[in-house]
Amino acid sequence: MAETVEVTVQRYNPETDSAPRLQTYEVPYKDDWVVLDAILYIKDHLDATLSYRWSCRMGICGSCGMNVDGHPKLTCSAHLREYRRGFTVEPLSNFPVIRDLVVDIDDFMAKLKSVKPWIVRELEQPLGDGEYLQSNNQIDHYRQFSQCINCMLCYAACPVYGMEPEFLGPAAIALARRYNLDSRDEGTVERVNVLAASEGIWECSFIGECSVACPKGVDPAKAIQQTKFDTVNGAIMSTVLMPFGNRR
Amino acid sequence: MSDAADLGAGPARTFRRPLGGGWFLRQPSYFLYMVRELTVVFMTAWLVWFLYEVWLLKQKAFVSLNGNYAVLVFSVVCLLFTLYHAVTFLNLSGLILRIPIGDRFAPAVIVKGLAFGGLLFVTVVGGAVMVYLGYVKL
Repeated sequence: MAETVEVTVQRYNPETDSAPRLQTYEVPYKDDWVVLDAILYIKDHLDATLSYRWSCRMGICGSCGMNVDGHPKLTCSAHLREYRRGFTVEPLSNFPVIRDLVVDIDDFMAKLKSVKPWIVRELEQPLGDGEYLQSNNQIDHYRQFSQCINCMLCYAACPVYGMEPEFLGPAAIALARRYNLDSRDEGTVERVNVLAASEGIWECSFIGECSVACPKGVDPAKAIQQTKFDTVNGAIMSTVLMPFGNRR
Repeated sequence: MSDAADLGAGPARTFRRPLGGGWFLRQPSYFLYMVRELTVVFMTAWLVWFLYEVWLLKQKAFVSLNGNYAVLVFSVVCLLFTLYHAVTFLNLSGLILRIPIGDRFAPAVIVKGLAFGGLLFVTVVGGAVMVYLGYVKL
C-alpha cells in the first residue's frame, strides 16, 4: 500500500459558515513533493471545492503563502518530508479570510502603494542623456531589500500587524527602504510622511519574526530599525543642527 | 454569525481571526520578546527603590538594607534582567548603525564590538569612580 500523509485544511465558505472549520484529507506521500503538491492533489482528486492561490511553483511569485503548522510558509518551498507525520494548512494569519485558504490582500496592496515603491525623480532626465549609472557598491546598499516578492509572510508573522491592522507593516517599509537607499531615487522626503506617521515605523516594537519568516532572506526588521534611526537623525539634522539649511 | 466574523468592503463576507491574549505563548521567539519587554518593569522597580533610598538619605533617615537577603535577591534579578536587556539592545547596534567608510559601511560585527566595548568601558570607569569617591568599598 502506498504511503500517505494526513493533511488538515482550514475550510471557510462565507455563504454557509459562520466561522472556519478544519477538514482532513489523506494524500499520497512522495518524498519530492512540497506542501503545494499535496494541496493540488486534494483539489484535483479529493475535493474540487477547495480554494487557494498559487502560480509559479518556484518561490518567485509569492502567491502560495499559507500557514503550515502555524508558521507562515511558501507552500511551494515547504517540503512534505519535513511534515511526515501530517500537518495543518491554514490561511495566512492576520488577514481577513475570503474563502478557505484565500485571504484578502487589498489592505496590503494599498499600503505597498502608499510608500511609492518605485524610483521617484524630482526632474526626469531626458532619455537621450542615457542611463542612471550606479556602482556595484551603490547597488549593494539596497540589494537585499529588493529581493522582496510581496508574499506577505512577514505580515502573517507580525503580531503587531495582528493587533494593529493599520500598521504599515514589514514588507512595505522594507520596500520603502529599498528605494530610499537607491542612489537614483529622490523620493525620500515624499515617503517620510508615510513612514514616520503613527501607523508607520514607530508601531514596530522589534519582535523580529518578519525577518525569520521571509523566504527570500530579506530583513524587514533591519529596514524598519534603520529607517527609525535615519528618520530621527534627519529630524535632528534639519531642525536642531541646521534649522536654516536647504530644507525641501 | 460569529463575533469574529466581519463584513468586508465588498459583498463578500470575510472572517478575521482575533490574535488573542495568549499570542506570545505560540512561539518561543514571541515569548522571548515579551521577556525582553518585561525587563523594563524590573529596571524601573530597581530605579524607584534607588531613588527612594536617595530620598531617605536626604531626610537623614537612611538605613542600609543592602545586607538583607530579599534586597540582594531583588538586586540580582534586576541585574540579570538589565544585562539581558542591554545585550538584546546592543546586539541591534550592528544591524541598525551604518558607519560609512568611503562608499561602503563598517561591518556589523565591528559596530557591535564597539557598542559592547563602550558598555564595558562605561561600566569600568563608572565603577572606578564609585570606588574612588568611596561610595563602594572593595
